[in-house]
Amino acid sequence: MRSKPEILAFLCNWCSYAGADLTGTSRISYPANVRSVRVMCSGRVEPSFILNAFMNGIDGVLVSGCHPGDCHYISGNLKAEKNVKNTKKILKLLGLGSERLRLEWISASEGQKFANVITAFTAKLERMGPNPLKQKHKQKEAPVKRTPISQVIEDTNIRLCLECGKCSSSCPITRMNPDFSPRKTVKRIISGAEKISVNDPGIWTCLTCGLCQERCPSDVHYVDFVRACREEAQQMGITGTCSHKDMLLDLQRIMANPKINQKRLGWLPKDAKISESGDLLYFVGCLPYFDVIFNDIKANSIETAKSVVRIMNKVWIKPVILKNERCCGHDLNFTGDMENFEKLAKMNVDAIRQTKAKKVVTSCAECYRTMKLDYPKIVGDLGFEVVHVSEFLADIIEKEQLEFPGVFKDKKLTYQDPCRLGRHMGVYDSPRNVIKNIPETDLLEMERNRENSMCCGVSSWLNCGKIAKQIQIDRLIEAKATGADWLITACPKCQIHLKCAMSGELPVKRSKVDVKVYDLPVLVEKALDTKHSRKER
Amino acid sequence: MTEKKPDRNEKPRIGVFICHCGINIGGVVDIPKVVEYAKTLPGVAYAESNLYTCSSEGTSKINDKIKEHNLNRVVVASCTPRTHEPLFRATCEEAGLNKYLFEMANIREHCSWVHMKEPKKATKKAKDIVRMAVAKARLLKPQDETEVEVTPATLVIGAGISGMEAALCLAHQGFKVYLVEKETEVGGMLRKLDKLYPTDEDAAAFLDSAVRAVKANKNVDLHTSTIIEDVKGYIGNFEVTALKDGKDKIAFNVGTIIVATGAEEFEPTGMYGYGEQKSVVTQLELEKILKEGLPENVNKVVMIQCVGAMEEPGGREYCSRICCATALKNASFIKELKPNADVYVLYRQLQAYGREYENYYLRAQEKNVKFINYLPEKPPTVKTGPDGRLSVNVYNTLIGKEIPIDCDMVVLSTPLVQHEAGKSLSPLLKVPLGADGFFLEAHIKLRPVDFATDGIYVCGTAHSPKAVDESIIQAHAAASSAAIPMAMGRVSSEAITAGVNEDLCRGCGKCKEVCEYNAITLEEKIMEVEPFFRAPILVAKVNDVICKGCGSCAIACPTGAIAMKHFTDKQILAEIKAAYRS
Repeated sequence: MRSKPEILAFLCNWCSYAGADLTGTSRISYPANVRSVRVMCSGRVEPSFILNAFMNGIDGVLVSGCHPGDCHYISGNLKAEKNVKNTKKILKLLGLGSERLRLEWISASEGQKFANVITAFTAKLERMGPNPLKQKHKQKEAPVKRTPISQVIEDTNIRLCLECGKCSSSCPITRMNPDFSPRKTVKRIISGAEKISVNDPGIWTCLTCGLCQERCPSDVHYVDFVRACREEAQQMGITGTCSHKDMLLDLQRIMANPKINQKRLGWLPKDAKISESGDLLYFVGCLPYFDVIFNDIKANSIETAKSVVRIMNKVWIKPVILKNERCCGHDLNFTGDMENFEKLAKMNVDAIRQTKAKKVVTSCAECYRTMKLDYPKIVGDLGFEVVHVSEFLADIIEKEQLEFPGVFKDKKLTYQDPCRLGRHMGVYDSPRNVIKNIPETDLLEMERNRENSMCCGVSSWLNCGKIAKQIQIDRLIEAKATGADWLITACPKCQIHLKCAMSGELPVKRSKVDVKVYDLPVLVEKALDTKHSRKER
Repeated sequence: MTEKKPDRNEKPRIGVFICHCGINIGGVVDIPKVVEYAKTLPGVAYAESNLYTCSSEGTSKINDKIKEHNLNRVVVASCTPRTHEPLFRATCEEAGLNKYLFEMANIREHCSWVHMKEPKKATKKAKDIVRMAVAKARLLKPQDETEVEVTPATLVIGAGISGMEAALCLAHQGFKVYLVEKETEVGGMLRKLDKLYPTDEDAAAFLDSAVRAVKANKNVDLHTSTIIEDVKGYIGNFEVTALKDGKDKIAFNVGTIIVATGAEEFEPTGMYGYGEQKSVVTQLELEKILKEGLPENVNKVVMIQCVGAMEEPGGREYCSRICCATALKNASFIKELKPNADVYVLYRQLQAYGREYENYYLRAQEKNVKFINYLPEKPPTVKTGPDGRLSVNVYNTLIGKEIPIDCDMVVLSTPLVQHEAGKSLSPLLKVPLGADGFFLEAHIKLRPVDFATDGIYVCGTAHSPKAVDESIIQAHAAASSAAIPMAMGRVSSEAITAGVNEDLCRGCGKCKEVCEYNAITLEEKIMEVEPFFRAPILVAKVNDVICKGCGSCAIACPTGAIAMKHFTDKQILAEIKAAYRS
């Protein structure tokens, strides 16, 4: 006999929990497949709780609170409504079905209603079928290939450290937190305290921006070392603190499940032309998810994808876009979750290979580094070329395939080198060539540019807080000080983190930091598209 | 018993007490199986069952076992926490355990009582529920409740009848009251009234006795011509600055504030000829005229009810409660002054509720006041004839025909509305106005005279249109509510509040934005690292006393800097994980 669907209900203390109590007091029966979590207010139910419930194999989630106007905390239930609406969008993108999440208003006197809701929801879930993420039994996973830490220490040249301190004096974190110091960490290891390194909170504080190793005279590969330590720490059950309640990493873990069948092409403009197979594939990345999650800071992440497709169509390219494209897994790689990272790598590469694409273009610096540098370590030779959108754009501009009608007039721009594109992969010129070819614009470099560029403050969602905000504010002040009208990014993460820093309250005058932020493809589309650009003169 | 100093790093030793509740739970759920299962859960040091855990025998057993097995967390699996959580928390306290180290598993209302015909499923569910409670209990931390002192003084804003009654009520209890009025005279709306319904007593005389009582009372400090400029602080410790006579600054330090700022009559400019014709007046204007007596040439009066009230969505949708009684009062009075006068009252729904007002209505009818019902879709029209006489056309629903009424005066019954002074208080006190513009109470039934912000109360027409007797009742209610914290002398905060991890705080202010209680402020600090780095930052700070523990801030925070004590993310995630599987 098929077992009943599992429902998890979040009930607010003042109304819905009391309503469910009344169901009991009235001896009204309902299906036994619901478990309740009491919260003080329905407005407390985080999207990450809901995602976690589905990750744990639960088939349906009910969020129930007081009727609008009756909330014990005035408007908590209205906040719950908004949170549930956003989470439904994410569930829809994941292909789990937004109807697995249900919002109800059940008052303390509505005992019968609670029973009715559970009965109806159970029936609905039976029709929808079980949660694809449900694990019937713990599958025996093939052990992930791991390099022992002792070998990593050798491979990354840790022992060549001269203790010159260039790393610590360059480090943006050390500047604000003297307890964190690459030099001290390396010294601890050399002096034989290997075991300490993986317990060291400093392992998680590092931005992996690579500024230290860029300047290290002994070529210590500090970034690789930190990443390997995080892998080791994860094995010991130690993880870092990620912002947004770990939601972004949870999404990646969900996508690593082969049973997930996403519905993620809804953002495509109606007139966009794409194909199922072909030479060129556009790897979109997590932009459709960012669009929902970072709506409140107006990050506009999905605009990048739309611009890329439109530009490609303009030069007669119909890019292949994967229907079930999964996150590249960069953040899982850099937080040490190798089991799930490998799954994502294999699934993505398989899917790309099936399209017979020869070239993969990505608009994200992290996807670029991950696919070009990290994927081959897992799958061997990729069988296709990986190119960042700035390289693609520079190429078609050089081949004179794009004509700029001269939309801007004396537009001053500055450019943020992403860590993953610049220092990690050595791509500094392509984005600059693109910008320089746009007529009537001036590229005003920030003081710290190219190899000396400053990280956008957060990597892999780790440790966002006081220090990250300060790094971002410093960078924005630097950008504004160039006199530029617009700050151009080449990575959706830079865009999100810098825009977040400008949203909300600021410890300095807003005029010191507010600069318009546009991603590179969006800038190019503006320069091409006469309709839009007229507004921006 | 004094609480032993909790060692926050100690390993959890959880005691699980599973209740039969007679046959309520035991008759459906296989209790011995659940007890055996509980013993297998990580962190559980002891498990047993009881017949009635809430009995004195049951609670003393818990007390004994806590000491015997050195338990530092307690889970009781029984009924809903909404009944006995306080009892079991007290039991833990008596045994020397912080009362927040206790969790309940609801296996009665949410299990045995709703799955009575499915004992096997109920037993499985009970095991799951216990496992969830134990998962949370493992992560529980002891919590402290903070206390603040309350200044035994109240600021009453507005010296109309509501403000004066509230002031007197508190003054008689021995509290100091600062009564502040923006006009030069006290009395508010009552000064504009002539008679009071349904007793028809003299308004001035009624007011006079109240004013004398206020001026005579030593505990009441009356300040006229005074407006509030700024309000800082929180319950028990408000700092208010005001401006007197337009030039002198005064400061008040009070524990509570009562808003009694009243309301004003809506002026129906442009409606039914008001403002154009001198003989079209409002009820208040009529009362002023009637003080001198009805003018000689006025023998026919038509009153129109619901002018500018009960409108379509987007307008003033509410019924102003008092206008029908006012019309009855003035119509009856006109008939008393001139028995031969013709008085018509054109109404939509006559609000003559209860014993007094129904009688009042009957007496008006006995005096031969004529009542005509009209429809909102077909409102009456007022025209002026060439001789200056007014002519009212109304569609009489009873006879289904439009009838013309020539008259000498048209009286418009208009609603009470919030006035500018009241509106400007809302952002100063950070208290909300409702959709109709009046002050909005915390909860219509549970907290009818409180604002959501602790320590501030409301009464009278500032809250909603009402009669004098209703205003006085509400004033006493507000005074009683205000007396509670002041009588106790101290206010303790719930321990279930938000806490900020300053390292994770970005100072973005999203928490402050969503907090309905204004419990969060952003503090300016300097982040300094010797010798080179120095920058101004903003850090969120939670006022424990005001925070109500709803958790909205926890979701708004992008980094997880703000955490909800006793309902932390980790605790709730542990419950989610344990819901169906171990």
